[in-house]
Amino acid sequence: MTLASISLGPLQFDQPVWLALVPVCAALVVWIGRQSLSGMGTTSRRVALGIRLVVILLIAAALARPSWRREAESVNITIILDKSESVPKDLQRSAEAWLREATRRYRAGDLVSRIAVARDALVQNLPASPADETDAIQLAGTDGTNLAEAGRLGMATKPADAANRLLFVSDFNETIGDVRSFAETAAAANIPIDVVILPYSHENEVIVDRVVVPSTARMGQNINLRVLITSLKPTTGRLTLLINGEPVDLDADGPEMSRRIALDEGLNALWVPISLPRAGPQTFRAVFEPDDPAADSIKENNESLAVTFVQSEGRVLVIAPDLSEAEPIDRALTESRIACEIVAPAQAPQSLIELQAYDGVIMVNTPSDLIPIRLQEELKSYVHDLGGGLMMVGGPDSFGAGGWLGSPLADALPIRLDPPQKRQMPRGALVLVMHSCEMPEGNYWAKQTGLAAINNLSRLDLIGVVEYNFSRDATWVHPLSEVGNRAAVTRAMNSLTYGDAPSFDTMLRLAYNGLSAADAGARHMIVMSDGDPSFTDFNLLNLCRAAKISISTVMVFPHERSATGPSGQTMKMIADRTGGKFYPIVDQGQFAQLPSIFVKEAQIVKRSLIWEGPPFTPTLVNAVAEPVRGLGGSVPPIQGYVVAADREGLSVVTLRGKENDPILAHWQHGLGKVVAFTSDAGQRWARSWPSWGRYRAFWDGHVRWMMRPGGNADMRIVTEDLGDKTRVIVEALDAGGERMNFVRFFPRVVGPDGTAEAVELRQVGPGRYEGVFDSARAGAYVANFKYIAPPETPGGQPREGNLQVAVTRPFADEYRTLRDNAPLGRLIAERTGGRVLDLSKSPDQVNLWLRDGLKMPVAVRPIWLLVSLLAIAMFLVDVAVRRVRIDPQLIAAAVRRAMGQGQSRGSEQTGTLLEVRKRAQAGMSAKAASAEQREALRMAARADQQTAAAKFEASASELAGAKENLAVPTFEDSARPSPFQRTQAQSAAEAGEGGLARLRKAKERAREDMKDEGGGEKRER
Amino acid sequence: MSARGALAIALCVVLSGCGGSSVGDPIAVRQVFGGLGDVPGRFGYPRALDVSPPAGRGLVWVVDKTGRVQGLNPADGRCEVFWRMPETELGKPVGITIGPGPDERGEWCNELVWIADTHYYRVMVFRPPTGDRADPGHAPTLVRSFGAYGTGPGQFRYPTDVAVLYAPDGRSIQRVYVSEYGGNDRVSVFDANFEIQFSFGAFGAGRGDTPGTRQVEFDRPQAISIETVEGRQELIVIDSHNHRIGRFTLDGDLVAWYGSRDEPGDALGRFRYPQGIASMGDGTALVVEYGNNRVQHVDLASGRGLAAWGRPGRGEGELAAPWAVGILGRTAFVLDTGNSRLLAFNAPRPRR
Repeated sequence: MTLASISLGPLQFDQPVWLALVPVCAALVVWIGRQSLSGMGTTSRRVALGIRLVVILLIAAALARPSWRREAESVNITIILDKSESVPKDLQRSAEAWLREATRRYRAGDLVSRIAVARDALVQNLPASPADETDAIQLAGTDGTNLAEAGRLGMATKPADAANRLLFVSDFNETIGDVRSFAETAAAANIPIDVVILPYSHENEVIVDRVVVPSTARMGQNINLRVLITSLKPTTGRLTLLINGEPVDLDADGPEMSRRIALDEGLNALWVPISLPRAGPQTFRAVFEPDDPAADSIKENNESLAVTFVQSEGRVLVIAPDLSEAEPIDRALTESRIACEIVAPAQAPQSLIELQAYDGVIMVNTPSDLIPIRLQEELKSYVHDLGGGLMMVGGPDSFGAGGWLGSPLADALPIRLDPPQKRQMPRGALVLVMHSCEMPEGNYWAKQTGLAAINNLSRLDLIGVVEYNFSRDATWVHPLSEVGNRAAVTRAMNSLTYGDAPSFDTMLRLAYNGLSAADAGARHMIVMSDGDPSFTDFNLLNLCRAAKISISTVMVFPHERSATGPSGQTMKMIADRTGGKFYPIVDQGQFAQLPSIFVKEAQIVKRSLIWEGPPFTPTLVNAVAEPVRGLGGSVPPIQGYVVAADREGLSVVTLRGKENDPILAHWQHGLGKVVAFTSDAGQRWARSWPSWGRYRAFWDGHVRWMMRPGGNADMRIVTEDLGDKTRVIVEALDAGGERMNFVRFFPRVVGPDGTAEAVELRQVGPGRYEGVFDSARAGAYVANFKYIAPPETPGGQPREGNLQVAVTRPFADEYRTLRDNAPLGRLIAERTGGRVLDLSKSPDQVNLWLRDGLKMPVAVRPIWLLVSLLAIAMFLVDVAVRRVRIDPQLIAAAVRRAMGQGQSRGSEQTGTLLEVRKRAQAGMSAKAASAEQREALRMAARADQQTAAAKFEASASELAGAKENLAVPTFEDSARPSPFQRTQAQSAAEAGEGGLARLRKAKERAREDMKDEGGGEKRER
Repeated sequence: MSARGALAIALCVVLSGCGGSSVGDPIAVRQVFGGLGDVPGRFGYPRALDVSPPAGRGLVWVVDKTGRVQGLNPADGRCEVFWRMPETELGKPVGITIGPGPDERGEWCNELVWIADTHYYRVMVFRPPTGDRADPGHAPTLVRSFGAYGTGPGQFRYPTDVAVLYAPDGRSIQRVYVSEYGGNDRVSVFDANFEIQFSFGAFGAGRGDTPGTRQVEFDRPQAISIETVEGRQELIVIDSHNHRIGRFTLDGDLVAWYGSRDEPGDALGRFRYPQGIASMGDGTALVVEYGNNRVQHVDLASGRGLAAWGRPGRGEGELAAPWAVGILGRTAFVLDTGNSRLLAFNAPRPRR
């Protein structure tokens, strides 16, 4: 009991002060009752008084805010199972088996919930009976351990109506978060944490800790590379070193590239002198292979990475599927002393680190399907976040005609690839026939690929989507209509049900009907399926060919896992006979190709975006813009270009073609600059350009404008590993070696997953700047620091530049652990009052749902409404007791009659009453045999009617008459004067009195009657 | 209301309640079992169903697209037997047949599970575990497995269903019929030793409708069943994608086709992607139609549609792409595949 509330058994009163009303009101009720209940019999009076007291008690109780308390009896245990890589798999399995046994000993009502934890924590099952089945769960990132997050998740999912325990089953080698601080939270919430420590100790282990190289270096510089290797025991093995994937000859005297080394127990440092002949980022990878495999337990930590940026003069990468198309550009740039490297798309860099070796990228007539989506995204990041330059040069496979519409790079370009709405151009019509894909994440891929194709269409093109629906057979999910803003068709793609179509026939027929009626220049169909539906409508293929409708088929994950099985044969035949292409995707590794296949296929209807015609001279506008200043005011004629539209914003168009189409434009995109030239480099459409006197100036002006500025300051960058974070320290020195203050940095760090993060770099001393970024995941982090320093002399130009640094985390910290961290487990158990359970003990001896030391939660349910209703009910009983007289004798007589006649039914009772009434009326008629009596009877009947009409105004005679009318006539009654025998004079005299007086008289008569019937029982007045 | 009017209304109510319902009416479902899920008693896109034979354990057997075979208690849908198919990477079975047969020791077993393991080009026969709990630990015994990939005699591309012909005394097997699709759409007939005897049918759009011919074309014969029609045993073939049902002698000679590829429809006696069949034992059968989302009661002697129940949807009594139907006692079970559930309803009264 507290001052605020009291508990009486299961009842709790939150405002008990109201209970003080009970004695006060009870005394008042008793005192008043002595007066007001004096007219009742003793028993009735006592009953009425008792009921009133109960009413008072209930009202007071309701005011005191009563609640019903129920103490929980069940216990929930939340099992948090460590699934990270640090725990040996055998140990994980035996722990799971142990838990399965241990969770069989539970009481009815007990609950169990399970959370799997590694880098992230996931709820495996919410609190449920231990007898229930649990679903297996796969965690994506097992290269980390975040016990604190798992604990918080356990706290968030614990049931409120049960006592709770947490059970951590882990090696307690956490890499993220702080489970000790979580233990404080659990202790404050009175939740004990039990722990099962998963014991292990690697006796034999070799870890390649780090490869140490300077962050930046100059070309030609010799650096000393240092490899740090920790070994638990003396061992021997071979060390291999690779620079940018190519092995370095460490064994100059022997035939091998790797060097045989002997490791001592503890930390070993090995020095390797390296010369840096190339510019750009140099990636070093050191790998150690022990001679005896048993000497090493964890393979994942046997290699390490490091990156050095080798600074150089500006370099440009030219990507061209047809290298000859890039030759004129190569010549122009070489004359301008800009180093350039020409590669085919397949040889293009595949990572941001490699891209960082270049200050600009030029793509010449390159279709988007030749550049993987991942690289497109990295190119976008390279420009926007890392300040690289990009120039897209046209051709029949470029811009909108090359499938770049809707690509990640489309937003980076200074022109819109959708043609302007006002342009009258033949449009394309595309129908996607989507069938269910029985492959992992099939529906996801189907949606992605469909959307990739749709994004590739211009707003004026026609798009339709057909699928099989179980209730409607083949159906248009999106009827063939203009792409518009893509909202409707995107919605349709999202609402696909991926029905299991039995046959291609109806779907293809529906798509054919739509396409054949469409007003379009190019008509195409893409069918995506596992090839399982049957196909027999061969005539349809002839119709398609006649209508110039091509069908490309994409067979995804056929049951036979072969391109040449029955499914493949059917789908290939459909494509072959209509002039389409057949794409078999038979294994999971090919899934990533799907979007680019669809993009490529969608381009078939995009050929209309190319303008070709007689030579004309594009109009030079904005001739003062920096990249075109050296062109002399005009350019040679061209014969073709890819139609695009102006982009709103800061884009500057410098050349315009037919109908004012943009041909040459540039803009700043994020930290980088982008140029778009929709005609070509001189092979097809701009043939007279390479011989133009200012051709070199054209390329020189644009390429130098878009290239990332190198800067002439001397910036030194050092990185420092802080566990799951990295600190960057920049020493800013100008060319003269003076420290530069108040430098503004625009740092962006791109992580292993391609996401860019802004980093705050603060000045912490003269010319010294520091910042920290998150680097918890394994992989490479590329940081670019664009900077603007104050002018060297007042009024001068601000100094701009870029510097880059890369940080690598070769393997997760998870792989550094060599033994369990039992002390941490014991610490959190001790701190929270939990237990340390021993995995080696039989699970039968462990009671996971131990109730000792648990505070069982109490569920409190307010019941004031119920108590109030009870009070009202008792009040009605109180009124009834006082106002309704219960005659035990009459009840007994009625019961006797009922018993005598057997079970009576309501109709019988009514019949009896009617019979009695008839008999009474017959008796009265007999008594009123004379004419006077009959007249009196009529008057009495009229008086009855008046009585009914006037409430509470019945005369004494009327009341008496009514009483006798209702009563069953007996022989004794016949002795009484009949109401009809009362004189009219008496009635008239009484009628002259007021209604109140008559009521009083009626009451007096009633009392007299009661006195008579009470058998002479004395009544106090 | 006059007594005559009341009588007329009562008559209408009675007739609509117990008479053959018209096309488009929902099924008067008695119980719903299953639901989407990976735990025993639930399904993921179940595609085949059969019921225990008279001497069996009285279960409803279902195989789904997670490759699980489950024996369900018909009263409450509880999973009593459960196992996973040994291989499922290439695809999951679409056919299940329950019937007696010799087990791996040659002893006659009242309930064997014959699975058309479609995407592994074989038929697998299991003896279900005898444990009374749906425990994965109670693995079935593989009695035999036959078939291999190919189009030659005795080989399969994608087997869809199995029908077993028993001797008159019901204590030995005479023949085993296996249907298949995938360009090799035919029915292969094996003897009691599982040696190939002959096959009939080829892939096509439904040519071959002369009675007595074996040169018939199938487009995915999805289900087969041995029925007694007009006093003799016949093989009924559900030629799903040709929207028809074929009656064949046990030697593969065509007796009659009901429905046609050119005229699929939802009228009684027409079919749209019929997918499964269950015998009523009185010369009629229940046929489930994937495309019409209904169960049709068909007179096998005349091909006349007697009644149909079900309409597309996900509500009570509605079906989404149903695949199979079965009858156990007086209860019919339809596999509401798209809704991953099993509906139980009163089977129509058998004819005398």
